[in-house]
Amino acid sequence: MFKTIVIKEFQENIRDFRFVVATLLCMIIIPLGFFINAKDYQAKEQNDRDSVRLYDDSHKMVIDVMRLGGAAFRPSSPLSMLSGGVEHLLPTSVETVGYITNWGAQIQFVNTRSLDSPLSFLYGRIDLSFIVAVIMSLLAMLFTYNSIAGEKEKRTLSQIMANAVPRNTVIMAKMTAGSLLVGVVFLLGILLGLFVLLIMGHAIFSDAGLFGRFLVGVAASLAYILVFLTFGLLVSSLNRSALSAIVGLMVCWVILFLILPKASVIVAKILRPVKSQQVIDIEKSQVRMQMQREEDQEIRQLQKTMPGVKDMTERDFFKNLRAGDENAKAYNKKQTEVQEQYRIKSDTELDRIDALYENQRHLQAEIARNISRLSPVSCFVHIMAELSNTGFAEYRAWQETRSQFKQAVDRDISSKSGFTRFGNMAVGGGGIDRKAPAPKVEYKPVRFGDVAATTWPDVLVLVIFGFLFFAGSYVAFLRYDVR
Amino acid sequence: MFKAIFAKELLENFASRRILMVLVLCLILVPLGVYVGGRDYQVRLHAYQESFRLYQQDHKTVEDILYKGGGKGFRPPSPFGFLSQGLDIIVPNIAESPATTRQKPPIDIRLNNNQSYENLYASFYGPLDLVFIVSVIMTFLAIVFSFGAVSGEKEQGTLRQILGNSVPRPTVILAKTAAHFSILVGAFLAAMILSLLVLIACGYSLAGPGGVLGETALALVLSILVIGAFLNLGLLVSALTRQAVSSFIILLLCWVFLFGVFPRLSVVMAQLISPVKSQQLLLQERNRVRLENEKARSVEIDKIVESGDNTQEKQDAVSAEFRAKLTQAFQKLDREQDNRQNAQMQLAVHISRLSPVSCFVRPMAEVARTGWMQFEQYRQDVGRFGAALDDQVYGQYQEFRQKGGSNVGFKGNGSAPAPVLQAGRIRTEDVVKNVLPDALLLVAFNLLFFTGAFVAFLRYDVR
Repeated sequence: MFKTIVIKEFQENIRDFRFVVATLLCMIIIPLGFFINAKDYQAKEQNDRDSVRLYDDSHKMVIDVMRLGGAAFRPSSPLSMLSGGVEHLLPTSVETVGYITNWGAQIQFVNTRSLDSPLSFLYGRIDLSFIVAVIMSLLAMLFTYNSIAGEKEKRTLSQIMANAVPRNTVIMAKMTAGSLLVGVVFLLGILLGLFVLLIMGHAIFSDAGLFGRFLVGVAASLAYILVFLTFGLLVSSLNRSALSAIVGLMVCWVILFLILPKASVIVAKILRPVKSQQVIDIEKSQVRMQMQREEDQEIRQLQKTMPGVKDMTERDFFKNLRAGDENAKAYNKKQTEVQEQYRIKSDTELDRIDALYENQRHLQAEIARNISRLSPVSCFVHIMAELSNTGFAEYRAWQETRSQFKQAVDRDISSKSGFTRFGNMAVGGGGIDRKAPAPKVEYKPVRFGDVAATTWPDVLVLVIFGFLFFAGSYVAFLRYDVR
Repeated sequence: MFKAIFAKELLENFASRRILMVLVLCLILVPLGVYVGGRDYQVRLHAYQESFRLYQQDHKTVEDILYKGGGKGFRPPSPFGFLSQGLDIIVPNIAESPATTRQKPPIDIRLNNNQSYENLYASFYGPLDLVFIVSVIMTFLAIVFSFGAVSGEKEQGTLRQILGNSVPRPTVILAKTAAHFSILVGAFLAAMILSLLVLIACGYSLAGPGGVLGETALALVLSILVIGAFLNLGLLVSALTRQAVSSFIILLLCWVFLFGVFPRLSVVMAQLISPVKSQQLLLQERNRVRLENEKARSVEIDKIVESGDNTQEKQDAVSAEFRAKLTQAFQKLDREQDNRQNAQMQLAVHISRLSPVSCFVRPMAEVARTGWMQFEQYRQDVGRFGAALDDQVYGQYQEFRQKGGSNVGFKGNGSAPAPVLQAGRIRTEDVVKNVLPDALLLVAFNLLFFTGAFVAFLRYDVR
């Protein structure tokens, strides 16, 4: 019986113009999206390579970094065809700001990529995440909106029910047929897309890790399509006319897909307001300057009060220091201690401001994220963005990279650029090996394990949505009164 | 007769659940979106004012710029951001001059947007501004309202009965269009009036300097045009099909294509046809040019030092010559990049204009001063700021190289007031000029779709 109904559903759907539309859309849009994103990636990769080459040419040694400033670059994600995520906002590089002093390097995020294509920010990208979240979910609902409501309307369901057909068999068969049909059409589009990528010689074919992630992305897409199929079935079971089912579905879709995720950010901002980064940056710069002023005053005070050196002239002091005078050496040692003390104090204070701010921002983001999980769309787009290394885990990884780059610059330059100051003269920086190779940090993409750790709640919620919708449609169908 | 059909359509719509849906969505979402945009503006304005105040505290004089981390110029947020967030998150909000005195003019001003990282989630999901509500929700509602206007009556057989009487067909379609348009635009206007009250409660002024009424009126006109375009498209498809469900499905696919697929494709097509090198690469190229220029200048100065006739004037003359060369080289690089990028942008804009949604989204960003015009304006402001810094600060460093070392001294007035970035304003007339082609296209879309619906309805065979 199950097989008969599945075949009947198959035949009905294949004869319908919706099947033709779905097939055409999948066979055109998915490969087109892959082609476009692969081309875009190739162009970006070429630009990235050229930028790094030009940087490396001019930054061979430590002295070059001291003179021109240092940078570490983030390459474009080869999996951006799965999801562009927030790539246009992620930093394209981390760079030093101003002089690199014994106070430690100031490193900031720089984003030059967002202005390369401003209109794509305005209109959005055509990646697999968008294709599945919008087009495939609509197609899934178009395939199921009338599977029960349509049969109720045409009275064919009463005829089926009048025979000895178990209701659960009917709904299971309808679900199976719909899923298989949409799944096959989608996978055909993916296969064609892969063929396009193969012809273009895309990087995913030369890296098993990337290909694995791609397959996981396809599996997540299938799970998401299944959720919308069950959702369509649920609304169809609850309605008596196909028209009200499709209109109801579309209204729910607009709310789930378009309004809820945006509203989650608004609610989070109202519940947990966070200071602007602009103000934080200025506050940090004020703290830094205040500390430098205090350090300067303490060193001047030391110079004025320290016995043996307080009466020396600038010239005498440096002459005595070179000659190994005990008083000058003691002053130098004490000054180094003061400098170190202020550097630690400044680092602690700046880290405290950063940590406080990051913590507040993290809390706000968590609220937004948890509220947005009420929509399967949010869960899906998050999974895809993280898989593609264009999501929030990538941003956190770049915060880590910024720290590593700072450590490298501090290790090679700042820690060795101690100055001895006396009066208005400062001598030092001799400890730096200016001809040593320039400090560098290698880009490390977020590991799959970390992606899994970040996205498992979304996967779980997506599965729960699927079960809930199917259970709802199952119960609604069992309770349907054929009279 | 027109009045009777118009009244019948109104009554039918009022009796359906759709009117409730429209009212609820309009009266909640539009004021909510405007409120959120208004609040966001206040938060950003506070951040801007606070940053500017803190910066000004420490950077009163030219000397402060030299010794306190360089000069900064901030971009004020747009008070019309509630209309469209546009490119606000990616357009730089801060311009910074080098924090070192080593760089010789023309200095590189680094443009950055330090607000983008705090808005990752907001950007990921997109803003709930008026442009989103109109381009997505209102256009969707326009489809929901119009898909059954003709095909629904065909299906139920009521159209046959109407046309069986002596009712002119043009009157029927005109009355239907007018009734649907009145309901949808009426609900939207009510929501906009409520939004204006929300803005007043948020502290906005409507008229006078800094008033938002002019820009809101402009946005309202564009909004009504795009809603009208989708309503007429709905009527056209409805007039061409015999079943309400088929017309709804076709319209749904058209809607997804027009709002979701086509604008995105237009950008990509433009990128493929007219590629542009990245800003990152441009910056590295500028660095390379600067290094080569500096190296060549150094060689020339060394020649003077070795010649035995080493004077400050001669060294200054060489430095000025190389500064002019560097300025020229930078201008050439920037001009080439600007030309390429503008060509690509124009191409994308022209292609995207085939969709009424694009004809609405981009102009709304310009009306809200969060579009490309705003970025161009800020770049001009930054250019003037950079020139002032070159002249008063970085260009005042004088180097005199001798055998065995160099003397570097600041010959300018260190206690002179520090140059400040003066943010320019885009005039409403310029915005109107910029968005006029899109507004005209929206009118054309309305006429085209309505004519199509009109003709299809006249040609409908009732048998």
